[in-house]
Amino acid sequence: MINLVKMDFYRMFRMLAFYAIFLMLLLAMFLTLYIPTNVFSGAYDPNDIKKGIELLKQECDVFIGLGEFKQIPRTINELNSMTFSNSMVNMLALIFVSVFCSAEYKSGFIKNIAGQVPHKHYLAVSRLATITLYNAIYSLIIFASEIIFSAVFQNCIIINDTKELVTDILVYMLLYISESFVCVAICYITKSQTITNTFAVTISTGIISGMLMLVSMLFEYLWEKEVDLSKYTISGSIAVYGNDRDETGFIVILGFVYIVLSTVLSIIALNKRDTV
Amino acid sequence: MSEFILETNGLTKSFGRKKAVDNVSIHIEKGAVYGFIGRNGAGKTTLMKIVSGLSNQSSGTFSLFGTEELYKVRGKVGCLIEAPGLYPDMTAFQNLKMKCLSAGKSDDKFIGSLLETVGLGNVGKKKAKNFSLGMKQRLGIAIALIGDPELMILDEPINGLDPQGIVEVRETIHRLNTEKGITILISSHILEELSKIATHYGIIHNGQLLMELSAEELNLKCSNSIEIVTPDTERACEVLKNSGIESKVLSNGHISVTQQIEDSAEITKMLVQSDIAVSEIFLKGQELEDFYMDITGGGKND
Repeated sequence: MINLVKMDFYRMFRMLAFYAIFLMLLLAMFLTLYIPTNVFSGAYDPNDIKKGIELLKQECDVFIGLGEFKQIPRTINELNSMTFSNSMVNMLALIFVSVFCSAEYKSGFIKNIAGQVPHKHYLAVSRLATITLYNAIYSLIIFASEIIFSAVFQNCIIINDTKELVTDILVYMLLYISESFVCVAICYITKSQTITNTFAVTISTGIISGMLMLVSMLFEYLWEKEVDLSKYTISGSIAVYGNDRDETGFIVILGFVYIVLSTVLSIIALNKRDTV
Repeated sequence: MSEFILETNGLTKSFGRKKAVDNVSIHIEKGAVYGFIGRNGAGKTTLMKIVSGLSNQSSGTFSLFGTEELYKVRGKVGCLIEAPGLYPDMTAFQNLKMKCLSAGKSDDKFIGSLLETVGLGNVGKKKAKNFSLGMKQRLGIAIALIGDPELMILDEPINGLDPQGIVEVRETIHRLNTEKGITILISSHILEELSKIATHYGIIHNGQLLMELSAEELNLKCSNSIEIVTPDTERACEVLKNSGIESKVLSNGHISVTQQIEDSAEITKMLVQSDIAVSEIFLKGQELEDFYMDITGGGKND
């Protein structure tokens, strides 16, 4: 099992897509978070900025000022929620997972290893371990980029609530991992790169959540009962988590449920179905 | 413990109502090169996939190295099924390194020696996508060799290769069998090529195993015959029968004699002395291909 994990790590770090995704992530973060910030910087009155900064200093856990302020800066907590809930950022994470998992079917390399492993579910477990590491790296890069971008573009690093920030990062990471595991399960069930990629884009861009919202509306129209199905989806949870932390417990349980279900489905698909 | 490296017992694989492999029982001895012969769709690849662990059988059992607890011996089997599975953007070294890591080997020198073994020692950093078909096949064999397999399953390893590529792959397989003692299960459409290395044969047709035989047995079955061309076929057969030589008249009117074929001069003399004109008399040997066509009926796939 450890050997398979080593093999997957070796492949992951040698895939061009691994590095391309991180470059695109940085670009996406820059375009979606910082350019709008600078565009609207002139909207603030200098006096308000001073007052706002003073308030921030009193309320936050960490305040590292690195220069003049042209506007009231955003805290790392705000930036973090905005980044993780951004569908582009979510999609980039999933696209790599999809490409990574389905590449072994597309290339046929799985034929070289599936027959030699003592138990086929080792393949699923090693892949899921690698995907977990990938998501951890992805989350860390997001966090590090937020710090750097904040320092460069806002001349400060402000952490509003350290505990909340750590919780947020862990919860978002859990949701990203569970979404990735679903993607891996789809790959093992369909054995198709096209279907897996399509699925990755569909769930990360919120198309499925949107469809569920329509179903909920239909439900409400027909039976006059208010049901929000999108809150049972991971992408729906990613979208609402930053605004509604009261649901943290439910969201964490939901994430774990998806992880367990996807792992079980991946193992069943590998054991019961032909590899090629 | 069984004397066979691989033994299948009534192995069957169904896709819906269609049985791709139907109650097949093959037996492969240690050190053999087992040539698996059959047309496209005969069930060769399906059976090889089952034995390689890439597919599950619908019914029947098989043992590897004398045990049915396959998880214990899976590591001793190397396989190359259909086209070699390679990451196109990786070099030969990286593709091999991947398999090495999965098998718990991390010695780069071992990879170098493997590349030398299959004649790819000088490919450097060339990516697999730029390899010729022959190079890909040899890299596929090298991947199958990782883990020091005692049984290699090679599905059409010379398919699509040019004559030089065929010779190179054949020599590699022969070397692995004779020098490293690796037992080989190999399928190929090129029967004459297969006949140069195989020590045993299994012939499969429409999912069913028609026959298993050793190369010696095959040679006996394909033994040469004498064909006699004469205007007096009936009387010639009578003369031969009276001398205790069995003969049969072929569809082209020639007489075929499979006994005493070393005595063609005597047979000619006997016929001439009986006042039978002999237009032609010649030795004829049956090729593996002819033999295969004979036993499978020679028609289209059912």
